[in-house]
Amino acid sequence: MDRVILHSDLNNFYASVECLYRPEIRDKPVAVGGDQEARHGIILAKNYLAKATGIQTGEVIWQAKRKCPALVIVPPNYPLYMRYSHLARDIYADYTDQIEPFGLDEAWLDVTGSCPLFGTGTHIADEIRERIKAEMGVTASVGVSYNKIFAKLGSDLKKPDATTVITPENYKHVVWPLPAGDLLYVGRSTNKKLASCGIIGIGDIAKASPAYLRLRLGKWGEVLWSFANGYDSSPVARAGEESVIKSIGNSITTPRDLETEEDVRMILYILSESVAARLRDHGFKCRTVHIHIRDKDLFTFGAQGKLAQPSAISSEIAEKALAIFQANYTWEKPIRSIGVRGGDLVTAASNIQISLFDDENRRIKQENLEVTLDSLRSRFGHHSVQRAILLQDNDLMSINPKDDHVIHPIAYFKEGRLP
Amino acid sequence: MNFSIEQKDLASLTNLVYRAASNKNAIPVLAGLLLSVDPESGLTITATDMEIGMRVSAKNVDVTEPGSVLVNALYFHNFIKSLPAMRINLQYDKETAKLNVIYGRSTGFINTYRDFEYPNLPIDKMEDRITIPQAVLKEALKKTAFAAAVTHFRQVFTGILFDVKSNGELKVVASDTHRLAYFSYEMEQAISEDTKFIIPQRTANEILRVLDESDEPFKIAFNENNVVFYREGFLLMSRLIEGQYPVYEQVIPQSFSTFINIKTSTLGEILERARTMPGDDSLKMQYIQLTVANNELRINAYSELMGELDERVEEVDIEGEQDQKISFNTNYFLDAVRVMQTESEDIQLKLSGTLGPAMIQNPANEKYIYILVPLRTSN
Repeated sequence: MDRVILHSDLNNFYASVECLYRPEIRDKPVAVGGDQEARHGIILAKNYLAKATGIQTGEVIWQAKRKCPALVIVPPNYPLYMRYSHLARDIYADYTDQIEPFGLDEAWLDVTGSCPLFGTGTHIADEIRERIKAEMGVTASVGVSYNKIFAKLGSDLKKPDATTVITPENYKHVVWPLPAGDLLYVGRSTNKKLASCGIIGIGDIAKASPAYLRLRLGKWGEVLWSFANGYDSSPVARAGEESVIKSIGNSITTPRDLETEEDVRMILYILSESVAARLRDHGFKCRTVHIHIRDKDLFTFGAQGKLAQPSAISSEIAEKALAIFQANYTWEKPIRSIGVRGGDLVTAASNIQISLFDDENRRIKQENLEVTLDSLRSRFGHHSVQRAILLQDNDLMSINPKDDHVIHPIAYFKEGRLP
Repeated sequence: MNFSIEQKDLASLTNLVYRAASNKNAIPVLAGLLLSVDPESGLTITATDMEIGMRVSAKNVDVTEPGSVLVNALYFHNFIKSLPAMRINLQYDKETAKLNVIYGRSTGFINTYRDFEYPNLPIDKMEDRITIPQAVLKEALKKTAFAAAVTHFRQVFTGILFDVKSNGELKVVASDTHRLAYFSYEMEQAISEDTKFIIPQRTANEILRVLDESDEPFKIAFNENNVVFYREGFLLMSRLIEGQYPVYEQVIPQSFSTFINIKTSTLGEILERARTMPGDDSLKMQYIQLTVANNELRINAYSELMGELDERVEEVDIEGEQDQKISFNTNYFLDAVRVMQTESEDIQLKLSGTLGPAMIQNPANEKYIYILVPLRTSN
């Protein structure tokens, strides 16, 4: 029996939520953008009025303003979006327990087992849309199909506030004429490769031979072919089943360009503190440290190194990150953004082989100290305790990566594996 | 060049040196063996990849015409070792640049490198010399080299330290930071000043292939960058590992809280059994937990995947503090016990607390010490 899968996409989610809370801007072009002062100034989301002027997500704010001088830019309020995201999830949970969120504003629902109770997939989709509109004040587009890929395609077809049904009978008419780039995982470079061998639409992918696609695109070729033919059988994860964490990292575009090693040292300490605190939150230690640098001209590079011992101690992570930085960065340009990531995770309860040349008792004390700092910060706020090194620069000191950046990227395939 | 030699003599020579030739293609001549003959010194074969270099020589050859050629080390060695055991004749043909090999009524030839420039082994200006019996050098390397790290971001931990004191004490030390093996020996001669050098693990393994149990002296000469191990008819030159070896004396504990004497064979068997337990979690580390209480030693190995092993050790003698639990990496422990199995019926284990380093020793021999650092466990 075919599965019944819905994909619900909250329309212009960030902008819609903002408009809900600010009646005065509802009839104006609105975009949610990063903090212009702090320079992470790109458009994160926009409403339909703004979209009509040609503004695109990811665009720099000043470019957007040039296209639409009347554009109202509001700063993002992630806690609010999270709340709305959870409200939507509560509505979904009335229909099924197989809910797989994809970002804050999208989710897949497997309602195969719920149809005898609530009616057809289309009926459930319409009911969910009605409830989201009535209970939350925003709108959603819902795709209904027999696999996750087509359900997602469906939700993109008609916006806002619409239901699109893609069945084994009609998918050749509905899906195949769409451009290849609409398919999940066909990004700009894949699209270019496909176009170079005459594959323009999703139908062209479906009709090509999988062996040929594999030749051109590697193993992704076959995956895309099965997507285009509706052979995707990946399950919808159950509610609460979180994807396995592979690494924990933070990055930041700094309020001003970093010019000296001392600047970098400060930022690495700020980021490492956050990485270490989040490792402890999740009960992990990391064995490798990765850094990621983007310079003033947006040129990026990354490097990594192995820690002597698995660690969730911020100074160990920071010093390793600094050592990697010193060994790899030649300071041709000032730095615009930096990221630190702890990888190769082990659970904090794992046995650790002590080193003959380290003082393990000192490390234990250090760990206890950091746990104490965690609890101080959770009671009195992040800025209640600071490292002395950060007192040198007020701009940099104001950064709080742990609380300001909690959006995790989500992969379609769990544990990074192909189906 | 033209000479004759017994096949098995030539094969045993090439077997010693061919591994010193480079197996990378960056500099072609380094993949070669340099064969030189002259009536006085006989046959000399040299191979080097610039990290390590070896030279062997033999007098039992009949030299008709002196000269030298460079041949590919691997091809030459494989060919010579497969020849029948008989006297063989090797002749270099200048016109074709081929080395003809004549064995009985059959012949073969091996291509040679033309107009090659083969590097000299940098063995000039080596003054500091120490001499130790082969058997001692063999014991020293065998008991320490395995403890060095295979890879480590601090290069010195991938090597074996030779710490030579001016009073004639020689200390050979290797550590991967988790365990440390220490061997000491009193040489008959004194040297001018304290010196230290660190040899790569590969060098140690190559010398071990050559050494036997005899008391024949083996000489060691060194300068800042290189070390040479040599005896009559054999020479091995190696690059030294640069860097400062940490002060190992400081991490060898001086006092202990608990002393345990066990039969070496009993402990060995337990550890071999414990080693059948797979390591859990992503670290894949196999470990054992020792519990000392009521004059009893229990050794426990546990694996979520496989099961559990709980041994009460027979014939054990415990002195000092009791009531403690301490965990070790099974394989690191077993490495030490395997060394002890070759020389002693009993093994002494000295503990210095749950997180402090432990010492494993032959109670009758203070010359060899193995330090093992415990695991920090969450329970």
